[in-house]
Amino acid sequence: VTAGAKGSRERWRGLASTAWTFLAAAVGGSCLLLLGIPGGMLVGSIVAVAALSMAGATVFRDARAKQVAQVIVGTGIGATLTPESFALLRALVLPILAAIAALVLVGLLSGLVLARTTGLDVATAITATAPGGMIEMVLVSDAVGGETPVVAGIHVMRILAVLGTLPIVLALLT
Amino acid sequence: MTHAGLVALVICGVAGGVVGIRCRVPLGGLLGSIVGAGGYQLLVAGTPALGRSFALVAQVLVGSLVGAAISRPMLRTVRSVIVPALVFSLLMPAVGLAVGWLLMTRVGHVDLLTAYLSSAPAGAMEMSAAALAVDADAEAVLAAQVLRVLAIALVGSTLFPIVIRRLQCGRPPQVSE
Repeated sequence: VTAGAKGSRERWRGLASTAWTFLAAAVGGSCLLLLGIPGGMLVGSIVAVAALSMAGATVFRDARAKQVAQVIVGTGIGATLTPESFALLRALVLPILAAIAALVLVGLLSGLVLARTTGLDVATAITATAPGGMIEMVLVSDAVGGETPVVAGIHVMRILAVLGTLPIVLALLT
Repeated sequence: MTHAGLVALVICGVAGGVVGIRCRVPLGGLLGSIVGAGGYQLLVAGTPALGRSFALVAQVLVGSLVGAAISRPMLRTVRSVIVPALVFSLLMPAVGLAVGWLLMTRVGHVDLLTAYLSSAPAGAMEMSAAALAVDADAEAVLAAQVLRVLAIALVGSTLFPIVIRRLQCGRPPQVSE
């Protein structure tokens, strides 16, 4: 088998995994959306792709996809901007900063409890429970000698818990 | 808004996103495309545009990325701490709801849905996509989420090493057998 043929096969495999990942996400999301579950498209997509991944199928993981998603979400938000948006943001700066301070405090306390109850080292526990971005906290954890795979795993669980409970919270709030 | 206007809006969004990514700005794709599409929106279009279908595509993409992060090896890694980690993970939406209600609705006077999506600690892109889907105030949600990520990255890289070192000094040294 020539290197060219091998490369071509790899490319087709990559395309196929991309196609079925997005197809599964669209089908899963549409099902929950049709059932009238709030935030169903997002949660259904997560559940469908997670099920594929857990079943051992090769799912699409590419850093560029995250950038594409950022551009689509950003364009969607930019399209809703009005002059009034800036006045609202000015009014929200203080409450947002206070909310962040509260989340940091809860994260630190949770980290200490996690370290006490599980025997995890403090560096791992605190960076795992800090409510910041996953990539940033994994980098901080690495710098302070934490176990980065555990930190990444707990951050994924936190994001999943927030997004997984979204339909319930939305149903309660709307 | 005309079809040509919509195409121009999307081109501005994509161009802004590409610039943000190329300049290596944190969350550059997200922030750059807001500047691009938002600039066009404010300067040229005037009326909010892009429908629900756009938000649905965004949710499928974001959902795929989050779902793909879940795997058997990932679960094996956190198996030893799964129960406390689950408790912590479920505590966070509750804290987000409480903080959102107390600070954002009482002090900031935004609706409770926007307040929750702003305060719940998941990713900036994920919560913004959810805000677009449920007609919450997506700009407020994004501003709160980006500020959270930046603030905690700052606190994490400056204060956490000091706190962790102090806590580690207070513990008896581990004796290996």
